[in-house]
Amino acid sequence: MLKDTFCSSPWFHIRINPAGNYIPCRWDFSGTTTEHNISNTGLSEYMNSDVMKSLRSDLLNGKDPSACQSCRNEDQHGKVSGRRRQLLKSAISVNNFEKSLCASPHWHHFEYSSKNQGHTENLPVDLQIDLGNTCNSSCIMCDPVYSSRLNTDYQKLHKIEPQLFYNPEVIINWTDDPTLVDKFVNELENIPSIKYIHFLGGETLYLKSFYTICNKLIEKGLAKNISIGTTTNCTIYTPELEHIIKNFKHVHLGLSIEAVHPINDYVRWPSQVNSVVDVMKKFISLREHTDLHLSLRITPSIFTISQIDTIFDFMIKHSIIAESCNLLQDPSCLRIELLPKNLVDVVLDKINKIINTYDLSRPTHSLVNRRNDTIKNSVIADIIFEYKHLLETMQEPKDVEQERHNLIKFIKAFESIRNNSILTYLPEYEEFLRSYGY
Amino acid sequence: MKNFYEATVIKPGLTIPVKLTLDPIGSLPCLVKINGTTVYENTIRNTKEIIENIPLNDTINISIQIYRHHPDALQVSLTIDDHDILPIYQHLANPPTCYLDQNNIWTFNISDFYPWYHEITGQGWII
Repeated sequence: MLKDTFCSSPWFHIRINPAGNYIPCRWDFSGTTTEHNISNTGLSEYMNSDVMKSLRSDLLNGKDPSACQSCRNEDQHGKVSGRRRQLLKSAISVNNFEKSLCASPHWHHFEYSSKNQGHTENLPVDLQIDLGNTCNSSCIMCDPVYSSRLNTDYQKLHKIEPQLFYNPEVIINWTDDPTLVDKFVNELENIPSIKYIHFLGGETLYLKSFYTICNKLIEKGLAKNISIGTTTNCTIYTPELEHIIKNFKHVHLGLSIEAVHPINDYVRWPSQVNSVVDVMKKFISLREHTDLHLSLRITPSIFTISQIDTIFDFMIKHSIIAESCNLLQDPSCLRIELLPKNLVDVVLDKINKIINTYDLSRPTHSLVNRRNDTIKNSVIADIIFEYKHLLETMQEPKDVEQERHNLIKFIKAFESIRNNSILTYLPEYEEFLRSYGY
Repeated sequence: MKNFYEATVIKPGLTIPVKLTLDPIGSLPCLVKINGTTVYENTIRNTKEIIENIPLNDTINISIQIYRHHPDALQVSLTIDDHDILPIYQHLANPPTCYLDQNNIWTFNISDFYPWYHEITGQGWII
């Protein structure tokens, strides 16, 4: 049915990846790229590329494009998918699909494309710009495409466990070329429709190109009409950010953290959780006197799920939401589904304690727009209950034994180059890890 | 609905029910119009329910004129397509109330229901 597959995103959104290749959507994790690159194709031009026209036609025809697989999986698991969020930007609700589609202010755009082989007269409104993989962290669950430091580590790890760690290519960030950065900013000047730019790293606040692009947009007088968002690992606080917040229409900052506990340092190596929390508190303080919107970006793994209650406690005490109930899928040996039942029960006890301590109850209806400040407490409760439900219902994957053995190989490889041990951080995991050869 | 082309066929026939409930306090003559058409013109003594089906994208303009003597009044509530609208959003009426105790014309206007409802319920910006 159309309500299960249709998405309005290709009518207003495109993405540029770290190498400068265009991708149709920020939730397209298929890894498929074409010849369209910021060096040879303009933003407006890409909107009517064969890729985008074909995607729009497929969506109008009720097809299920491969680029949309990630959202399909999330929809099937009852999660708030990117598709549902993008549909909301067209005032379309999946729960009242027929009428809200027909009443959508974007109806005439869909109708035009349906009569013109997927062509659109729209210019991009919502961009995701991957600035490059320059990063000061080497998180074990990340990918070398998104972290230069992990890229270097992977070159060593590939020699230790070639089956678990691929030999990464060195990424050349498109933003390292100042002429491309100028080209990008100049083109934005001719796209008055742009309302939102989401910047992605690497570590965005560590990337010079983030400040260069923001400052150019401020100088050209474009910033006041544009909202921006980005995600940070909370290892860096720059006063320049205050200048950016004051000059853009709106700024959203996602804070990546999995636990207010030293296990966060093991996973998000080499961060120090105390200084991460200090930086988070600076952002929270900045929120008090600027138009800064904050949310947490949590993606628990088999290790950090054990301390997720510390994050929930932080969210409640500081009135800060998490964007969604994310699930780590890759690397597959770090999935929380691999956790043995006795350890899952310990986590559930901790979550129930939080629920009882703060007397939380689950909202009765789905909260899709989680950035609505007026429902912040409900969103926090919803996230906590989502994780609780997930832990209560998740099942071991078929390859659980193989993956647990892979987990041991995976962490031993990392630990051999970092000279650390998971048991320093999570001694309660010893019996489990030893039983698989740690 | 399997594809967008079916939506183009369905759309022209879609309507949304506008259900207005009038609760008089006492009895009073009143004139009720929806989109300029008189839907009730009489002295109201008991609760009256008025249902009009409006094309999906049409504006919804409701006006009520009462002719009261103290202490008579009229309490208005409204649902549109089963969504509760009044008294929740009475601050958007003119004058901003749904307890009518003045002999002036009371109005409540919505330009395009679903986009309006999206915004009013805080579902985020429409791009």
